[in-house]
Amino acid sequence: MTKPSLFFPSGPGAHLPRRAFLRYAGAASAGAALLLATGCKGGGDTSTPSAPTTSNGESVSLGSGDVAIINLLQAGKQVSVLLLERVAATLPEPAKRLVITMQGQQIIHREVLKAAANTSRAAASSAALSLRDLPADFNSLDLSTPTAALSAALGLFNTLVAGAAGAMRYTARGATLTLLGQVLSVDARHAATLAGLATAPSALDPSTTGPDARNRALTPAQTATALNALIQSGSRLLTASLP
Amino acid sequence: MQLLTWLDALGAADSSASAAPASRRAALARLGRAALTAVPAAGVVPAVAGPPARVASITTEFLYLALRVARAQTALLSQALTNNVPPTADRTLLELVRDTTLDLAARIEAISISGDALPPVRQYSFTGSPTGPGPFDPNSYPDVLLLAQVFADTLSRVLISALGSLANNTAFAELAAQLLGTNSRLAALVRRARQAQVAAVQPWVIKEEEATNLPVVFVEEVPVYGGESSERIFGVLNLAADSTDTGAIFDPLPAVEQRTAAFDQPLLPVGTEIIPYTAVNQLLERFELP
Repeated sequence: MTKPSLFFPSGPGAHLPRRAFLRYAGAASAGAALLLATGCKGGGDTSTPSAPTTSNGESVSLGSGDVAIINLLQAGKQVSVLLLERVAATLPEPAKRLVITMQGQQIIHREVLKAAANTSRAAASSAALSLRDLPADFNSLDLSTPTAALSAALGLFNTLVAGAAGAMRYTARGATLTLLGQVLSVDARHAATLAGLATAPSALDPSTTGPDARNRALTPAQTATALNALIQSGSRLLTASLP
Repeated sequence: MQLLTWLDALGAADSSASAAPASRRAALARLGRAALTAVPAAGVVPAVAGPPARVASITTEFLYLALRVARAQTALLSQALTNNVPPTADRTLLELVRDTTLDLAARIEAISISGDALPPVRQYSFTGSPTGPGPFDPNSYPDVLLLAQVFADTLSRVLISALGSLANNTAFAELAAQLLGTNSRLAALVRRARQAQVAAVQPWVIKEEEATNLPVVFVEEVPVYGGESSERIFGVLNLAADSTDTGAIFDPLPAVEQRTAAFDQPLLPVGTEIIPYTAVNQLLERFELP
């Protein structure tokens, strides 16, 4: 069953205030409006195009501008949802329940970021496209024991927090900044919780060097490279065009 | 909420930075900080590495609001540690939270402003009423943990609030996010410690049960702590509502408690405020001595 579009209400009486829409979309043509109308949830999403695969297995474009930032975080959420499922399977209660709750929140982040990418497309760029599903590859991780699995997840969450912090510098819109902050804040809570379950409570990303309480910040290219280590070759994120 | 309403609101959010000067003047006037109105649209020189040399004053005013909350947190925990309030098992944890918050505060204090001054250092009474007996006992460990949770969550909320106004100062947005990343870790640590005493508490902000257990000072008619609820993304789309929008985003639709717990919320400004002075003042006036 096709779900109703977030962007274009359906049903009797639903209509598009075209003038306002075009103002936001910056689209002067009906063709652009048509593209937007077909680019929403409900089976109409147009996935990011696959470029020729690079020698290191990269093929997925994230788009540009704020959409690229949102899609980068969405890619991280796709990976975190899959990893937390594997981690939860290694844990006894009550830690398992806690991690499953975290996974549920990561799913919510993933879906909201997907919607936000579509919204940003409407507001900023008719060329922006939704991110397709990315197959994970966790062969490089040790998921054999609860402690090892929790540590692996902690490493990913530290990357997500640092990636969101570093992405701020390359974000143009206030609304995107707020959304990134809202997601980052909960990811940081997840990271601290995973650290407490894995070893000992920690207030810092262990990758932080020196007596500095500021969280690490990674550039989008660094974040994408880190995520690519957990994505199957051939479906990895293109890093060359990222700042 | 319909899409175009959402987009209208997003557009309004983006215009907040350009609207900032007038609102800032109004906010400052309300605070009686007339001296600051003489400060020219303030350049600031960050002493920390990274951000550019000059940014709008609104940036540092956000950070200074965060600084006031961080100072209250460090004062609370220092007093509790000095008076041996935490049990031995939790002492190291609270020292970690205190020392890290102290460093966060130092990072903000290291930003120098031309023509402006850091907020004055205050004295505190953590009974919750500077002028007399209040609802809290600073020598009670559960009360200390509760206040530490409120301060930590609020500090994160101030920093999230700042981000929406920093589209033109993204280097400072990065700094605010770095502070946020660490502080939200601290908030989770405090909440985990408190979870041992109040099972409903989670490492993240939850919507319901916990809120109803909060002291009345946090759930008065203009709640400063919002009863823990965190309902909005973008400050616009209400995740607590089973609306067309939420239904379109999720398949299946998660429970409202799950949706709202997944996002920390900005502090909402009051009236024409851009910076949420009112909310922070409402909270801190219960603890800062005149």
